[in-house]
Amino acid sequence: MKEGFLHKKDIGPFYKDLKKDYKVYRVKKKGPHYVFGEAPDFWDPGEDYIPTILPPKKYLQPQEETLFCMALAPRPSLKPKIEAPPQVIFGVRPCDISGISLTDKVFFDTNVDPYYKARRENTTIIGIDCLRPCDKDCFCSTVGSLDVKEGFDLLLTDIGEGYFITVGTPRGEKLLQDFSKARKPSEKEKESFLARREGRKKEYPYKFKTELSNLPLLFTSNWEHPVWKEIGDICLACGRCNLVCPTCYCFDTFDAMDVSLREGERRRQWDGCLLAEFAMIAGGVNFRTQRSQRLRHRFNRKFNYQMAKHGQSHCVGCGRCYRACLVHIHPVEVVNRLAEVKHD
Amino acid sequence: MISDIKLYIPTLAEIVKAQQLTELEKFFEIRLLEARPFSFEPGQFILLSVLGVGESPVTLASSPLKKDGVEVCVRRVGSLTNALHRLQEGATIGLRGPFGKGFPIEALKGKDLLFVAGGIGMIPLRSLIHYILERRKDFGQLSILYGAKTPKEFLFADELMAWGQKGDVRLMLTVDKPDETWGGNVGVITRLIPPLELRPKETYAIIVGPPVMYKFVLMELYQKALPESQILMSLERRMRCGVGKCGHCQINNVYVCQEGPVFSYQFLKRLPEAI
Repeated sequence: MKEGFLHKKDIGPFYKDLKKDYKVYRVKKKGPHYVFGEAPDFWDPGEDYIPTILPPKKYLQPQEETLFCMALAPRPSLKPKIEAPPQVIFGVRPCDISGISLTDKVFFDTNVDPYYKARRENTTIIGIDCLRPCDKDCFCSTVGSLDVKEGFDLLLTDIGEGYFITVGTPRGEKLLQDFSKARKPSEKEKESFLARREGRKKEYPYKFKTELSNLPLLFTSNWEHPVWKEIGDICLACGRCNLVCPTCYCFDTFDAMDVSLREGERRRQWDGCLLAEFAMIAGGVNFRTQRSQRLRHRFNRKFNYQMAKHGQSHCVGCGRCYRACLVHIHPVEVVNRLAEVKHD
Repeated sequence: MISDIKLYIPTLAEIVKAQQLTELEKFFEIRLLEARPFSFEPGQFILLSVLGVGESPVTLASSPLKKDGVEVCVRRVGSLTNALHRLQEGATIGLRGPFGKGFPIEALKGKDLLFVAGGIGMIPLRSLIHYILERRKDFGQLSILYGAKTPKEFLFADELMAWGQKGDVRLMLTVDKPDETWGGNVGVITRLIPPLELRPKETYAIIVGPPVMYKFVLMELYQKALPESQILMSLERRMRCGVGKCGHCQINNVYVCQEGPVFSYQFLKRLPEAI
């Protein structure tokens, strides 16, 4: 079954049945925001959704995780520790599905990261499609992350009475068969799905003043653009944009010992290139002392370096960095400032 | 492609020799506890763990032809290096690697070599110099320029004496601040370059030193008309993972731990963040 239909009354039981075999996370309300977390029953904000405070990367690359355990006495010994319980993340939106598939490229590239790999292989992604922009600040379609082709096991598109299901992987297909009452969609349901997907195009205006494929060259040629100093002057270098970004994966490592100092762990935790110490080397030499330099580095990672390498924008347009930014730096505005440059 | 559960897990090793070289730098000979070959290229680095304290990138200082263990030399600057300095012979440490790309030995064969070392920049160069001296006939003229702040801060002083007496090595030393023992050159290392007679097309310059040194040495080599592809540099960054993930060593679009730390100036000049 490459496509399915699940009636809305059947999604609650599907969710409950999944919980018997998996840790299941879904979108929850937290104050005025949404977060991913555990919950007894199915619920989803539907069209009221705006991106969660943290993206679901927290289940694939936790904020802090153990790499190995060590005992220092009587003789030092090291023991790897990988925790990867089977889990389902329910209700992941296209922007975050893109974020996951881009992070896959990083961690599965060249030196496969065993921790990410173990978690990723034990994680099922059930997406819920977007048919209109979640708020005025998202720009997923502009960066090409609305129409997702990979990164999910199942993708549910609301077509009124129920969900049209796009099956992304054999694992998703099996899950659907084993846990849900999904059936093959009718012709009419398929037509409704296609019409809604087609209809949503007009809901998502293109927001950049240049073609997406121009960005790597645009960023390379605007290394000295005044916008870097302008946003550098207001940036607080707090690193919130790094933390909430679905495609920021940089980390630092450290040893954490228990009070006896005989046993402990090497861990890694999220790090952010906006933080002052990120590019500092021994003796205090720092290759990106200015906030403008660090912002330029981060923007180039999203729209130039990583994009040129993987052929896809590494900004997924979720708008989280803007919503989290205390001084309102908006990636669309930055890109458009660069795009305004007149070449003779 | 490494697909390995042990990607981030060090191999245990023993410090078999620890020797204070200067006030700040200490020399260590290290042997893996498990019997397996450890091969590397001069210029590559390892991630060295002081268990319970952390992990830091360190360049290898010994010749790859040395079979029984590797040597490193580490300046005491932060918490990890201070903890390392306190370790005695017989202590167990951890080691990952080797990582990165070292000096292009095949390209250097048959060429005249000009080494320019500033301070602890001599450490990675020592690995290559040892290799070259063991394969001396494969290489052309060998010149070593080495600058230190004071005469006491020269690393491997005994070896420098021996190299200087070999007759087929031109060794030139300079210090910023002389003391009563010093009768040699005083001043920045760039002053040693203009009097050299080089065959630019046949010469590779290999520069390792503090970031500030590179620009000035490059200007002097430019005067000597050395091709940019024949000027090699090793860059220092704080690699955390060594395997192209953690982001700390990134210069523009380049992960130093993957494509470096040894680069040609021809490559680096397009990276505005490099030096």
